[in-house]
Amino acid sequence: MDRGQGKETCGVWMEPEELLTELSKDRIYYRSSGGGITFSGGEPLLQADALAQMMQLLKESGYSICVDTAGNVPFTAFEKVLPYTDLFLYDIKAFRDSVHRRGTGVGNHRIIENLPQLLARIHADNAGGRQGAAGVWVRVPVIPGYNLDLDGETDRLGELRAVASYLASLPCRESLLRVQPLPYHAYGVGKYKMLGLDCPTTALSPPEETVMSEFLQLLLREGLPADLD
Amino acid sequence: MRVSGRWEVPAVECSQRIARIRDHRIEDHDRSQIPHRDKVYAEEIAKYPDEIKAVQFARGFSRFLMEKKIHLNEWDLLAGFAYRYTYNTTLPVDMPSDYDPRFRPEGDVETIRETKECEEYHGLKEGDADYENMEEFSRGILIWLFKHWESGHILPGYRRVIKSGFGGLIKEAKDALATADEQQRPYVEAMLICAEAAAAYIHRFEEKAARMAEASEVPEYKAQLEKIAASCGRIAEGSPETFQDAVQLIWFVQEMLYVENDPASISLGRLDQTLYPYYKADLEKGILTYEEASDIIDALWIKFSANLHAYQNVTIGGTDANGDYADNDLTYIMLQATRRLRFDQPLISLRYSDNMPDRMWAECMALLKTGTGFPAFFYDGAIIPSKLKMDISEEDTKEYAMIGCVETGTPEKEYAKTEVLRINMPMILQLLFTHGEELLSGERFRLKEDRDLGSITSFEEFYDWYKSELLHFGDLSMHCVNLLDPTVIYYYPTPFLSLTMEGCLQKGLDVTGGGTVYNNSGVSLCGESNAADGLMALKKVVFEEKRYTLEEVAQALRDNFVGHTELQNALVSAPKVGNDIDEVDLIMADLVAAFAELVDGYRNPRGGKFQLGLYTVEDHSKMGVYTAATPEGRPAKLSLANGLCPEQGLDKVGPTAVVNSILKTDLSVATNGMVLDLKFTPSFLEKDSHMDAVRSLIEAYCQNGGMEVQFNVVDRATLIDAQQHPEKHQDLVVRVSGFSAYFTTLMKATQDEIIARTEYANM
Repeated sequence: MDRGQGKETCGVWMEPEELLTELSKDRIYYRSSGGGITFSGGEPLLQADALAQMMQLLKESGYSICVDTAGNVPFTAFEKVLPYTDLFLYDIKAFRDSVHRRGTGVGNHRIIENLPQLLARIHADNAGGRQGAAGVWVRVPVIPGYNLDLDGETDRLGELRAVASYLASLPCRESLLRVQPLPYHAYGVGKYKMLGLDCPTTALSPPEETVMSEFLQLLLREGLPADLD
Repeated sequence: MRVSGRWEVPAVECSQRIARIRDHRIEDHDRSQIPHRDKVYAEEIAKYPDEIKAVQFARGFSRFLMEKKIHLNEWDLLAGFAYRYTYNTTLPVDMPSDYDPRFRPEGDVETIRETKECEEYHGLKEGDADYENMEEFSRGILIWLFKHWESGHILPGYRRVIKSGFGGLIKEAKDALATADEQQRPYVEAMLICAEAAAAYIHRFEEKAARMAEASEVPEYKAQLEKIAASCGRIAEGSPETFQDAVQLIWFVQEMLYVENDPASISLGRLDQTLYPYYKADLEKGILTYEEASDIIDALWIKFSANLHAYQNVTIGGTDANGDYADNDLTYIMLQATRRLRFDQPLISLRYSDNMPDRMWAECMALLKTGTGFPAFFYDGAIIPSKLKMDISEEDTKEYAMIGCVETGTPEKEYAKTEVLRINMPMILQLLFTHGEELLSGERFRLKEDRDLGSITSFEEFYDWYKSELLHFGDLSMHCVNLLDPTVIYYYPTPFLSLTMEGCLQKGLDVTGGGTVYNNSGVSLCGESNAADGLMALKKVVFEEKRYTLEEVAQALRDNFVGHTELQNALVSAPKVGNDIDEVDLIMADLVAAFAELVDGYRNPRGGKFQLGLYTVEDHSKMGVYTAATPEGRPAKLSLANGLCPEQGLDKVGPTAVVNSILKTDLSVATNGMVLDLKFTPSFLEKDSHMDAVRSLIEAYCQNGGMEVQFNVVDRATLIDAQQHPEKHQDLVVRVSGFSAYFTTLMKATQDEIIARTEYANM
């Protein structure tokens, strides 16, 4: 009793007006949940001009907007979207450049520099009477072998400790609204398969609950607004 | 920012004495009681040949209560045990001496017999228009074009009984007898006989409990039995004085209602509101604690669940006369009892309102996570105004409670006959392709306008034709249901139920004849989204793309798509309800609105209205099994869509799209209830943020026109395993349609249907 299978296409080109129509379909849920639209990726700030244009259009309808970024872009990209952003989600994968490079193939200099600048800017916008972004949620993925349990290091959480110190040292901490440790999960394996690629992390398991708790405690001891959902 | 710990609830565990009761709960089943009941009824009917049916049944009721086994175990907190003495059918008027009700048709109504009884009652003969109508209706029922069921589905007057006690009702009946005329007298007599029988029945328990207390050597049991004896002594004629009294009396009423000829879904109404004054009084006197009350409710819940397949529905929450949310300790106790025990009954129906407090949300979500499908959410903001349109008084609309699956009614004042008719929409669509021939059975039905498919040149023409035939079959079936209506008081009255209902003693009229305040009839649709999807597919494939003709579709339906794969794929690829696509969603909205308009104009012989339901019980599977291939690309015998939901598995965008689709239909017409079922995996509800999301979904749905929503929270792997290894999953309870059930007891088509429903793991 099979209805038959179809072909699956992922990704489609859309004009801003088209996207506005599509996103508006969920407006009653944005309202009831206090939520809105999140731009993610890939890296949305690589399309900062187009993104800003789209966000401006959405703002005319009164939607709340969040930008989810890895932060590895010139600060000017942030400036383009700042007027329309209500919340930033910002990934910090590692503190040490070498650790970051090993995991992603690129260094984290810009990422580390942009975050304090972003916080300062948000703070200034709000203090200056303008209605600025609410703030930033920092997300720290916890990935065994990449920023946890590093080869040759006896301190399992060494890199994460460094991340915590870095976060504690940030200026304008009142705009740092949340710190979320995120355990590695294997849901992406399917995507690799679909693209006909080998997934490099098939051997990995998610970190144990105890490790996640320990990291959480670390963050809380630094006075950071951390939680495990 | 949301408060952390907002979803936390207290852990719940059965007390030792409840665990003992729970573990022995169905031992008292004794199927030999079933023919015993009917034998007693048959003998009393034979003994009083000149009395009306109501009096004959009252005598049967009375005698059986004196002879039947009564149940009280040494360790019980509450006395009694109920099971259904009849199944989904009415008692035959002329019962043969060897009639054994255990061999009644399995779950099926005895349509042929009821039709003959109806034709006899009206003096209809072959050749009469209504004879032909009844015959066609009857044939339609046999092949599931229609469903007709004189079922229970009632909200009895428990409050009336606990307010007056049976002693008070006996007095009320005697007063009514003094002023009754010739017409009313026998009905009042029947109710009086039932009231006296009820008091005598409760005395049997008093006596048994006292004897057992005397003989008991376990101090704990002895004390409990003495309490029961004293309680029964008070409530045989008097009103309850304690919380336990009130619960025990309500339970005895329940037992006796099931003895009477009214099976299925005898629903308890707003039980948390009903029992609260007794709970509060005991608490203030210091003779009851929260924990003791929890044990008593647990014991009551266990009794409900031991009454198998009975769909007893308890309503909790809701608003009071001022519109404030009416949660109380018992509301929480009842939610916790269900979370503790996890049976399929009682059904828990939540009256939800915008001002429901966070603590209620937390308890409800914790219960949803158990996967039992409770509670179902019913929105006060939609239901109260819709009932006003049904001529229910403003005061009474605020007291509404759920019956059966998801139907709404006014406790003790409404006889709603909620299951009296259901109509198979996709089958009607199939009939258009075959000049009225139903393809699986070969039965023929008269179309209002039989047409040649070749003569239809536009989609609008075809659509209007379908709508017209849908309304035609609606009209035919409601007309026949109205013909059956007056036979019920003649052949199958229910005097004990009538005793409890407001108005019956006063009017001297059985509830089946219109004795209570509101006397309605319920008609439901089945396969709304199948029909909409089918019409959309025809619009696209036949009329817009012109890839196939209607005749080719007709042939494909005849062949069940064998050899027509391309055509079937084309039909399946058309837009489907549930994906927030206006074109197809608005077809469903239009069909429902058109049918609602027809229903709105209908009255029944008891002075009441017809109410429209958009829920299907298990009929979506049953009707599916009997329905041939249909134009949405559905192969023969596959289950139809559940309630108002999209076809199983064909909503591919997510729950917000499903809700958006459903909201395009005006749900305020569903005064006989509706079902929107959403399925989540258990792991999804582990996260606080996800529970926040589900809460937002429910709030948005209700604030934008929603009326009812319910949840299935069980993963596909578990269901498939339960199908393959039922012995490992005997206790698995799932949400079916407007009710929950033990998964392993469901027919395979229903199990498959539940498995096929879409699971939302990401929102």
